[in-house]
Amino acid sequence: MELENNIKEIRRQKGLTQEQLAKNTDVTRQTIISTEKGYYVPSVKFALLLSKELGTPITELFWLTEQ
Amino acid sequence: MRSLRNYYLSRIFIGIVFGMLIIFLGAPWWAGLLAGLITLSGFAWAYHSGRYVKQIQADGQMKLVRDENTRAIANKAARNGYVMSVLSLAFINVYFWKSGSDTLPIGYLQAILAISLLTFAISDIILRYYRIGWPGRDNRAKQ
Repeated sequence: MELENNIKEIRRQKGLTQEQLAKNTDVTRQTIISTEKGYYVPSVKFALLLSKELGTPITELFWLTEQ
Repeated sequence: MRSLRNYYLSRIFIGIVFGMLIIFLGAPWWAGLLAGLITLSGFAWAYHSGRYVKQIQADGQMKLVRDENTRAIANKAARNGYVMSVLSLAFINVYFWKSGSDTLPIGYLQAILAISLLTFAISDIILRYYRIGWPGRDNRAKQ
């Protein structure tokens, strides 16, 4: 099972930079980069914050794929 | 801007106090000055490194804190440093026991401390780059 996300696409649609999203969700830009690339699996709290900040349901931000 | 000014003013104060402490402990004045400057450089680096979240407190003071990702990295690096120090200590104990000596020179303990700190620093750098991604390599974390 692998966790996929489309944070980068939605962030761009909303016209937000990584720096702005990091500031609004109270994390570092490094964490946004790691999460967008799928290298870091966020906590439920951070995932919910991302969902709220991007105005997108969490199930549209993250999903599992069979490998 | 006020919070940034306060951040630097408080860190300059800490740098001065640390430098004076070094001088009072018997070091020459230039060593105290150097220690103060290194301390201040560390704080300046921490602010601009991108490793910390800048939180403005209710009283206008700025605090640098780790987020969940960087905290996890630091915890893993600390665990690696701890394991390395335990293994080194065990190895040295067995070595001296085998050689029939019942005293351990303090220099070996200092070396263990240095090895642990080095392991922490190297682990921190590797884990950080692993999570941001090495150029041209897919190192996606398997779940």
